Amino acid sequence: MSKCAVVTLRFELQHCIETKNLVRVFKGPDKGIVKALDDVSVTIEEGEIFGLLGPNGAGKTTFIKILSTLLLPTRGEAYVKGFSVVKEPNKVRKIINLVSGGETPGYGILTVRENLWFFSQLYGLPSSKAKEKIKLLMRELNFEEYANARMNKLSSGYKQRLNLARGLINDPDILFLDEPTLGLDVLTAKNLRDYMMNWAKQERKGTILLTTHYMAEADEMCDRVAIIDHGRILACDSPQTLKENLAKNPSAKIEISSTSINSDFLKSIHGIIGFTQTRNIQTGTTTLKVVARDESAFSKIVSKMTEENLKVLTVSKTEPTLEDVYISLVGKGFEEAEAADS
Amino acid sequence: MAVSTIFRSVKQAIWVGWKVETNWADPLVFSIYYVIRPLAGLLIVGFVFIIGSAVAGSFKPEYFAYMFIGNTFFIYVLQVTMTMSFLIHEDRSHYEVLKHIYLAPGSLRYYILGRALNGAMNASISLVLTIGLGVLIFQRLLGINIPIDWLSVNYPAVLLSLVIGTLCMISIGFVFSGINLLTSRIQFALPDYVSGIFYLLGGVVFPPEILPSWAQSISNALPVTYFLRAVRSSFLAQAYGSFSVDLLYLALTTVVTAFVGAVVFKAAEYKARRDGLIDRKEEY
Amino acid sequence: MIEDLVFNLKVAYARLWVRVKGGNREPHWILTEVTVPILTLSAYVYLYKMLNAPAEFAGFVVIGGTMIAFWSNVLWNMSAQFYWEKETGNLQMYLVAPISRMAILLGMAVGSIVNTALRAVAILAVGILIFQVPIFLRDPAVAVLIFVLTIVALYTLGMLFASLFLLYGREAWHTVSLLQEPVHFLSGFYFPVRYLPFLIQLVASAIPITFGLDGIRRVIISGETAIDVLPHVAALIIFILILMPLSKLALNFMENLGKKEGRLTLRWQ
Repeated sequence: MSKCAVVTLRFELQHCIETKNLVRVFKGPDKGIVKALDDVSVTIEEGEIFGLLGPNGAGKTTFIKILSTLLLPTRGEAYVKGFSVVKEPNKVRKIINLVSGGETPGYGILTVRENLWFFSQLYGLPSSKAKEKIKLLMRELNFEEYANARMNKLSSGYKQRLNLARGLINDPDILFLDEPTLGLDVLTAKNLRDYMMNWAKQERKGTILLTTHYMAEADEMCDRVAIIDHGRILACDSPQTLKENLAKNPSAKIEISSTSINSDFLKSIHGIIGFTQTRNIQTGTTTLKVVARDESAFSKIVSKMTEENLKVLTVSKTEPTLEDVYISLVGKGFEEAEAADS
Repeated sequence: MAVSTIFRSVKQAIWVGWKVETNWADPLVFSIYYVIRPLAGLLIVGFVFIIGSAVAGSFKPEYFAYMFIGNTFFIYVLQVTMTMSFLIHEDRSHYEVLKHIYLAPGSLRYYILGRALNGAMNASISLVLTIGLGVLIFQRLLGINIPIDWLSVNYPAVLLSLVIGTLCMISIGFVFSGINLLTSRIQFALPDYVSGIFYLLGGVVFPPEILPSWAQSISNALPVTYFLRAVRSSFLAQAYGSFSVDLLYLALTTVVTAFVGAVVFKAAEYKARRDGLIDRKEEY
Repeated sequence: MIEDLVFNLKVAYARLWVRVKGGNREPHWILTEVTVPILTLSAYVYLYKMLNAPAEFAGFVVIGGTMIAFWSNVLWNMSAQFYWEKETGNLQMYLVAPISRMAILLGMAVGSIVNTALRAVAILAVGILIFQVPIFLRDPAVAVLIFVLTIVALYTLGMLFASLFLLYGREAWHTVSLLQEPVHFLSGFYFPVRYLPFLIQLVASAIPITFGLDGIRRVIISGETAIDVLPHVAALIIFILILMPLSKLALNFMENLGKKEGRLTLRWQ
């Protein structure tokens, strides 16, 4: 094969983002070892919105930090548009940006406009072009009226808009979003999600790697989702396919009129793959979300409740959600997984 | 409010201050703030004195002692006022605990009082160490005569002066805490200004008599002037005034500053609550 | 390469602009940063007066008090800067951008010099006017030369500290605190360092500002000329030549270490 052909072949096979057997180990607080990423191999294509979904401490932020060149992997390789994040970090930085939720980088004493101008200079935008870009971003993100307000006077919602504007100022090919809607109210979060989807799909046609522990967010936004737990990728496919694969495992919601039930007995019922429970103090109820191998498991649960003199209020079959996918893979919900780790 | 609640608030605040500020867990950090820095300050003034005297061809040990006592005891002014100025912003914006302290049964002012008392305790530790090392360096190593007969010092008088003087500094500190409840913009500037003015006009390193007359008038109105004079009278055979008169003036100025501190803090607390500032985070 | 240099100079300018804008946005800061040092140095001037020291000692104090503004700035606005950036979440923004870290440090340094110079001039002017400090300046060019070299050496030292403190949280804060009053003493901010015991002078000569301060005083107050302060000029140049590459090395080393240990964006440590 000629050299040209080999080069062409390599180019065609190049993914936008690629990791190969990525491992990252930290020294834990008590001098133990924490494996934040365990043999993660993922490919993300150009123009994709790729989600990484998992509970707190699963390794999502570690993964993004390695790809954005903030952190070195312990072992393995990672490439962004063919550039090694370890050996060619500066080339990577030119084509990416990072927006982290819950953080608002910037100088409180400067105005919104002044902060954005400053960030634009970190990417070499000529001042005139930067001014236009800033105006456009502020208009699109609906905070133009705060242009001359000092950053330390903004509410968290507007600070996050500023954060997103900062992330887009250099027109990146790839945008890393690390829990971008963390701590935001429902409406602001929805508006930001809509904006990011429009940016990726219509306007810029950029690639987004999104980490989140909000199932609905991943479901709504992502072309593909990888479910991560304890540093390992458990499943990776489109949200639709993941849910369809689970269709053969029915899931149901069972509402019980008590907040003091001990759901450990569910582990002993044959046929249950995983479950999660939510207590509602206001209504005095507990909702069990159960994924099972077959529907007979649900009647066993109801029988057990009756034996314990607990009133079952409703039993309803549910369409599989990403949470159910997670439960089927891990055996418990996010909250239980986080509680077990803490 | 029950005495037990007050006592508990103050005790807990002293404990928190001890844990957060005193850095017992890290001896190096402790020594930086409570030994090395105050000692360096003393060495600077001491060497200014020694060198100035050498080039002028005349060394007066009684003036050296004047400076020595003034500079070392000034640490109470610095420690208490700075603690009370910084703690509002730290606890509100950095540690985000202020609103929880405010909502707890013990009042915020008793918490601040406890933190100020911890500041005074830290100052006492620093004072003893600085005096000890200062005597070692100046008297033993450099051969400077510090005319203090440590066995003849009137320690009860020193203690009484310290107690009243500390109460005075705490009162001034409440003004700072009150102002910082409303804005953190001048949390560093306030104690800097006040300690700077006290240092220059309060007879810390030289008698105020060498200042211009308008400055002397200000000096005569400052509580720190009487605080240091009372302390000096207890230490030094040569009196710089009458101890009882200085103590009386110190007590009077303390009463005035206590009244001002209470009024300012109460007004600031009310305004902060009215304007929603108790839990407002500021980035300074 | 030229393109890269121009780009990074623009980045440095942007960081400088932030520092100058932010540093002067609250007018009361300027007032405080001029008034408080004047209060402190006044105390020492009056102490010298009480001791009947020659008038030139007032000049020594005024110059020392002026240079303290730069030393404090190097400590708090340079050395601890990356710590502050980390605490406020700005550091990762810099690390993800395709810029030279030295450009950021350069911008910080020059911005700090601009801010501090404004304050220093005010302190110097007020101090000279109030205390009628005797000036005996025979060679202004040498005074400017020593001042410039001192500032460059100081801020290069600040860049080195900023690099070293990139990873360290509260330790950076404490170390910077340690370098305040002890350096005021060792470097002779309020008295000529030649009066200190030899061993202390030896230790002091490891700090660039010792040479700068002594040199400036000799030229402005004592009327010495270029020949007299040649050793000071040479020492400052040597400091710059050593500190500049050292700060780059330290920055690269600390950044790599931080990326290996995962501490670059770790807060509250």
